[in-house]
Amino acid sequence: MKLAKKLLLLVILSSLVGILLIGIISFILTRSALKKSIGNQQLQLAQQMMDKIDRLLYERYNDVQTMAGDETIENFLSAAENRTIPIENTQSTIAKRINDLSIVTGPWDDIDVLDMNGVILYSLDQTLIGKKLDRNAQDFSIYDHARNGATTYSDAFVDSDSQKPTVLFATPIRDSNDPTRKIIGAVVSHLSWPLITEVLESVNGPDIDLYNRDSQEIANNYDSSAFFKEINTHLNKAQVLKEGKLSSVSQDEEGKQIVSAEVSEQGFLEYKGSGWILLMKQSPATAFAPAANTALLSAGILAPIIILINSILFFILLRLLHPIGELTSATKHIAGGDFSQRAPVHSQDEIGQLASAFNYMADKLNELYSNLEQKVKEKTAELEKEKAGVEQKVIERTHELSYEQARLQASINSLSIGYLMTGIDNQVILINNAAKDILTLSTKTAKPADRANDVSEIRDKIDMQFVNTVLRDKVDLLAQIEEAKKRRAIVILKDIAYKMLFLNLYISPIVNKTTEQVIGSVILIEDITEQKIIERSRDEFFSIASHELRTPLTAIRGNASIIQDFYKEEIKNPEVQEIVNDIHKSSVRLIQIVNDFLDVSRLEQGKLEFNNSACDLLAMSEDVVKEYDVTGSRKKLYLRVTKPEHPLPLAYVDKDRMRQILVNLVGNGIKFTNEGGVDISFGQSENHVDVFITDTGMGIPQENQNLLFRKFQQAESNILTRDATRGTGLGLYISKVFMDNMGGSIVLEKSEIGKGSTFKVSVPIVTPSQVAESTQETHV
Amino acid sequence: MYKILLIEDDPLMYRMYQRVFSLSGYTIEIAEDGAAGYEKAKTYRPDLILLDVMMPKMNGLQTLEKLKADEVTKDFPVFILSNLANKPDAISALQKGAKKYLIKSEYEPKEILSIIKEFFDENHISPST
Repeated sequence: MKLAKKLLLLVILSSLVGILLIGIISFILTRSALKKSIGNQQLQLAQQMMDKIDRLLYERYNDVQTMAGDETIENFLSAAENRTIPIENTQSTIAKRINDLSIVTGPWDDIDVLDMNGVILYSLDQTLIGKKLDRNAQDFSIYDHARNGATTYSDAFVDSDSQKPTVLFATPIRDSNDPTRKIIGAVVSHLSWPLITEVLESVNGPDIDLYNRDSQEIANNYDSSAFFKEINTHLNKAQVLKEGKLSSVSQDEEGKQIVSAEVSEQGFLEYKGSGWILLMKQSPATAFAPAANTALLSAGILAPIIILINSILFFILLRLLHPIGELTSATKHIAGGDFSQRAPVHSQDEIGQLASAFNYMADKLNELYSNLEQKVKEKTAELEKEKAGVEQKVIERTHELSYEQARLQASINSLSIGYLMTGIDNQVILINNAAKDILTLSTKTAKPADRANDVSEIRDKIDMQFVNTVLRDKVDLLAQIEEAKKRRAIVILKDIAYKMLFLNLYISPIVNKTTEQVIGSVILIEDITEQKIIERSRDEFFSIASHELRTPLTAIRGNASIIQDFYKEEIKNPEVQEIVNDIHKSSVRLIQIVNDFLDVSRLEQGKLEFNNSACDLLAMSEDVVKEYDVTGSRKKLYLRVTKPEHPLPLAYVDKDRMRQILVNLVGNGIKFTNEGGVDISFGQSENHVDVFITDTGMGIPQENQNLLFRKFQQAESNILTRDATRGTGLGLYISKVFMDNMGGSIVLEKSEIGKGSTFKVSVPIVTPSQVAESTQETHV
Repeated sequence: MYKILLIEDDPLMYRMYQRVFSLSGYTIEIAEDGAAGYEKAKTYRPDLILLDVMMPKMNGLQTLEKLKADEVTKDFPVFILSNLANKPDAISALQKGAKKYLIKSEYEPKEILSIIKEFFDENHISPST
C-alpha cells in the first residue's frame, strides 16, 4: 500500500482513538470530580436544609416560650385561676393576643393554652376551648411535662384530630407576679407542617426525604401522600447519627443507584431535635449528567483539534516522503537504461543524502556503462574479424572436405569390390556403385546415367533389405558388425548366398586411434559368384575330364591285361607279347598321369580333404610291398620291410594319401633301381614316426636334389631336355603337399650316384584322443 | 556259377568286363542304364551287382537307392565301379548300401576278380546256380 494511504489510515485511526480516549478519560475524570462535588454539594444542601429545619424548630421552640411568657396570656391564666376576670373578656383578649402572636411566631396549626388541670382555656381551634385533655391524648404527655416545668417538644406525629403531621412544643406558663414563679399553666403549640415541607420543597431536583427517629418518612418534597407511611430501612442511621452527615453512592430501597446525602438533625442550644434524618438523593444519571455533557463537550472541542493536528502532520510527512517517490522513479529510469536521470536533492536530511548518494551512483554507473559499451564495441569488432577469419577457414575446409569426399567417393566407386561404410549407429555413410549393384541387382541393368549417386534413397532399403536377406542365410549382419566392433578385428563371412549371388563379406571396424573408440565399420562385399561358377564348372570339368580320360584308359589297360591273362595262346609270339605289354604299361602310366594331374589341380584348389586317422604304418608298408611284388620280382629286385626293434606307434595320417605316398616312393625306388631292391625301414622321434624308403638305384644328382619336390622340375630347366622316363615329376610334389597337409614331412635323407637314395617320411604320432576318433570311422 | 549283373552304359567298359567274367567262370548279364538294370536285377537275381556311377537318365547312386528300396533287390550286394575319384560320392554310396566303391582305372581286371572272390568267400555267398 502506498505510504500516503498508510499515513492517512494512521491519521484517521489515531484521531479516532485520540478522541475516544479523551472522551472516556474526561468522562471518567469529570464523573469522579462530580461525584465528589455533587456529593459535597448535595451534602451541603442537605445540611443547609437541615439547618433550616433545625432553626425553624428552634425558633418555634423559642416562640412557644415567648408566647408562654406573654403578659396577656399570663394574666389570662391568672385570671382564670383566680376567677377574677370574667373569662369572656379574657377570652377575646387572649384570642386577639394569640392571633397576633401566631402571626408573629407562626404559623401554627394550633396553639392551646391550658391550665394546671389540663383544661384548654384557649385554643385557636375554638371547638377545643373548655375541653379537658384526656390522659390518653397525644399531646397530654407533652402538656404534662410542660406543666411540670419543662419546656419540651415532641417528635413528629400525625394529629388524630386534624390528620395533619405536626410537632408539639410545650412550655410552662409562670406567674410573673409570684415570687416563686409558680407554674400556672402551659402552652402547647402545634407546628404547622408546611413549614417543614416548605424547606424541603425549596429545592428542585433531588428527592429529599425526612425521616424521624424511627426511620419513618415524615416529609418529602415530591409526594405528600407518602408522609408517615413507609419506613426506610436503607438509611445509614447509625453512621449518620454518629458523624452527623454522610455522602454516598448507594442503592435505595428499590435497588436503584442513588447519590445520597444524609444529614442528621443537630438542633440548637437547648433544642436538640428529635433525631431526624434528612435524605437527599439523586439518580446518578441526573447527578452525573454534567459529566457526560462535559465529556462530549471536551471531545467535541478536542476532536477537530486532533484532526487538524493529524492532518497537518499527515501532509508534512507526505511532503517529506515525496522525495522518496522521486528517487524511486529515478531508479526506475536508470534500471531502464537511462543513466541521465538524477534524483532531485531537496534537503540535507537522510533522504536528501540518499538522493545525493543515488545521484553519485548514477554518475558512476553512467561512466561504467559507457566504458563497458566501448569495450564491447571493441571486442565485437575483434570477434567479427575473428569470425570472418573462422568463417573463411570453414569455407576453405568445407571445400577441402567436399573435394576429399568427392575423391573418396570416386575412389570407392572405382573399386570392383562392393564397399560399404557404416557409422556408429550402423547407418550407411558411404556406399559405392559396386555395392549397390551387388545388393540391388536391378541396377546392373540400369544405364549408368540413371544410377543414383545420391545414396539417401537407397540407404534405408539397404539397411533393412540387406539385413533381412542375409538373415535368411543364417547370418545376422548387424550382429557380425557388432562382433567386428567388439573384437576390433576383421570378421570374414564366406560363401554367403544372397539372391542368386555368392558373396564374401569382410567386416572391418573403424577405430579412431586417438580416442580408441570404434566409430563405425567398413564392409567389403566380394561377388564371388563367377568364381563359384567357375569352380563348380571346373569341378564338373575335372570330374568329367577324369572320367572321360579314365574310361578309355581303363579299357586299354583292362583289355591288354585280359589278353595277357586269358589269351596267352593267341599271343605266343614274344613280339606280340611285348606289344601288348607296352600297351598295358602305357595305359597304366597314363592313368597315373591323369591321377597326378587331378590331384595337383585339386591340391591347388585346396579341394582335397584329408581324413586323418590312426594308421599302422608297418602293416601299410607290408601291403604296399606286396602290391609291387610282381613288378619287383620281374626286375629281380628285392622288396622288403625291415621290422622295427620296438613296436611302432600308430601314426595320425590320411590312410589313402599315406598309401599313395608310399606307393609313389616304392614305385620310384623300383623304377630307378636295376640291381638290389627297395627296403622300407622305420624310425621314431619324439612326436613322429619315420619311414625310410631306401633303394639301391642310380641315385639323384646333386643339382636335382633341390628341385626334387617341385612340380615337374628337373635340373635342366629347358623343357625340351626333359627326362620323360622320370614320370610326370608330380609324384614327389604331391607327396610333399600331402605331407604338409598331414603335419608331416618328406625329405631326401641321402643319395649317392650309383649307390642309391633314401627318402624319409615323417608323420605325427597319433594322440590318445585321435585314437578314439579313429575307431569310430567307417572304413573305406 | 556266380551270377553277376553289370549296370554300365559304356560299351568299351562292359565289353571288357563281360570278357573277363565270362572267361573266369561267371555268368554275367549287362544292363545299359539304371532303370533297365533295376528291372533286370528283379528277374535275374544276381549274386552281385556291379554298378557304374556316371550314366545318363538315372545315375549309379540313384539306381542304388532304387535297388535298396525294393524288397526283391535290396539284398543283392552292390559294388560301385566308377572312374570318378570323388570321396564324398564314395561315402555316400557306401552309406546307401554299396559294399565297395572301386575305381576302375586303378585295378587290373584280375584284381577286381580276386576282390569279388574274396568278398564271396568272406560273406559265405555260394553261387546261385
